[in-house]
Amino acid sequence: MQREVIVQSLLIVLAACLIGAVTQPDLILDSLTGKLALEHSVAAAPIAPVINLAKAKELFDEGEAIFLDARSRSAYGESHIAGALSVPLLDVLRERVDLAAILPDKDAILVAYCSGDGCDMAGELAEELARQGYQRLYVFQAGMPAWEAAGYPTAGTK
Amino acid sequence: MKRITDRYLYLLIRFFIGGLFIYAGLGKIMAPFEFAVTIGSYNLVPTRLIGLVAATLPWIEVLAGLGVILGVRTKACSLIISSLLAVFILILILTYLRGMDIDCGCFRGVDRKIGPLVIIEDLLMFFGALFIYSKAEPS
Repeated sequence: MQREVIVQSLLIVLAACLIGAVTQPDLILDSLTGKLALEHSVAAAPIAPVINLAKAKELFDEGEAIFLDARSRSAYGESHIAGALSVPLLDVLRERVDLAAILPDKDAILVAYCSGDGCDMAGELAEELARQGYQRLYVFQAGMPAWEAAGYPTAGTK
Repeated sequence: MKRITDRYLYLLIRFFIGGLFIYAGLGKIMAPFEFAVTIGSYNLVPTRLIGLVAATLPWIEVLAGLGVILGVRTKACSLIISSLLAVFILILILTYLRGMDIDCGCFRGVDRKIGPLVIIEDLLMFFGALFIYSKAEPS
């Protein structure tokens, strides 16, 4: 009897797969040919994994990661994660920052952050860093508000 | 009396879990590319297989959900749902332990980060699905 239930389950799954394949052939083909990854940025290995507060603190405590503040220099001046470098996204895009000078090691663990969930600058900074050959990138999306709220070490004038 | 209560509980759980699976599946069917991006963000499925999973998984959810609600092949459908939930729970725990801060992608339009609450919810549904499996008559 159990075997019958398993066979029925497999048949239902098969039927569902067939419906999926018939209704979404483009999605499957684009994915198999790699077009999905190219045109829609759908990939199993994102450029920079988004990490949560606990993971960011773990990297901070290990002391090997370099935290990069993607916000403006004035926001950085007020308050930033202790030890973080100021790398404003706009300055990077306008090539006002010499990344090779401040981050000579392309294998360094880099954690980009900005001002929290509504902020895209950390993600964009990570993309730019990836373009320039840096490989061990993370985005701490919850950013400065979460770090401050947790009472973790900060520096600045505030 | 107990048998009647059991029967109502059985029906309630069937409608609740079946309904949730249909709702979750339909949301993904309506936005397949959005779902593909969510699958990619978990960093678990090979890039070239993401489309296959995004196209088929929602239909498995919908068919299994329908079966559980309508009482058609209830045992088989609840087995599918509990198996799916077991896999989801494992993936959620793994992703949470990896420190990834991503949306669970459980339901379309509901922005929820992976965390203990989402894992507990899935665990409750998993036990609900097992309850359905244990009560359902083989057909």
